[in-house]
Amino acid sequence: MSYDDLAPLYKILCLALIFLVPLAPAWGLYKIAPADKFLAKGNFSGFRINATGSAAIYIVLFSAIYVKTNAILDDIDKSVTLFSQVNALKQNIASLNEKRPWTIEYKLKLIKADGSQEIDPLDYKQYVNDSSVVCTPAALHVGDDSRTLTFYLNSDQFKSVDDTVDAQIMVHGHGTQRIPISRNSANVDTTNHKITLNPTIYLGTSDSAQLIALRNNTFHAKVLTLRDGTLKPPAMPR
Amino acid sequence: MKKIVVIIMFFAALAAVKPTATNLRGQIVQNVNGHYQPAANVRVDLVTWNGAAWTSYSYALTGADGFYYFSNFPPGMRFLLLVSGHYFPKAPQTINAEPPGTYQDLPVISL
Repeated sequence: MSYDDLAPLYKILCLALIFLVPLAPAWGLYKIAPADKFLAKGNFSGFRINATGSAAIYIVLFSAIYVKTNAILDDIDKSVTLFSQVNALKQNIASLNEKRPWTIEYKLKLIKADGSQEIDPLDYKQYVNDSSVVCTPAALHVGDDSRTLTFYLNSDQFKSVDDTVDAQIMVHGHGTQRIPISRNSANVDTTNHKITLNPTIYLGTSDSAQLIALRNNTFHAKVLTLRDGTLKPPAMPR
Repeated sequence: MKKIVVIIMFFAALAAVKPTATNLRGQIVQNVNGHYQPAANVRVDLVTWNGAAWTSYSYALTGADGFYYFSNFPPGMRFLLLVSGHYFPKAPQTINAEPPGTYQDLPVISL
């Protein structure tokens, strides 16, 4: 049951307490000093009061609490309104949390082209910077360590894919690698909307003999021109 | 002794089925007065056949030397290159199994 549903019950309980609370001291006085001459005399809500003993105590306490009744009932109404506002706010926050972007963080490891070892840590800046690395599908931020790349993925974009996000990382002029991100992978932190990946990229090296042949104009291998290409990919058997 | 042989055979089998990843390499050039020169910053899309359609798998930009690279591909994949709106070559290529640290060299394309 929500607080809204319980509000009428609270009101009934409140009214019951207004009647019941003064009973305790009145009953106590009746038990301890039944012959006490405590006198209550005056007007209360249009009624003329003239009571003695425990009845007088009850009337005095009741009247003292009664004047606060409206304020208490109003407070209950206000709390119901506040409670529904808080609930709406909570739903808004949950909805915003659901829609906030995903952070994808790559912690790169660059390996020399021959696959022998990782490049020198000081060389990372040479390969990894804002202009040399392209992450798809979003712009990225390169961390101070030149190894950590961060970019944001729209939440809707993340949801729209079935199993994987087609991400790729390209170290300009050295290599491109497609890194599919599985939504169910252990690297996906759904609470914090964060995906951490640790790709290893082998830095490409050009064919030096081919470059020398080009430079010396002695390159005689078959070269395809645009005329050798087609505007549509070939049909394939399914 | 038999157990040891079985264990060794098991790990040998595992090593045999371990997937290899092939790296692709190619160069884009341009013909300037009859001389080929490297073409930098050219986008090369790798288009692969998924069994039903050709789809863009990833793309690379050529470096100052005109070379581009695609890393870690499973052998057996059918592919084409898309450069300047043209698909190369006319017959689809297959990614070969190459030793680590080497490349499957792709045809040089002149713009």
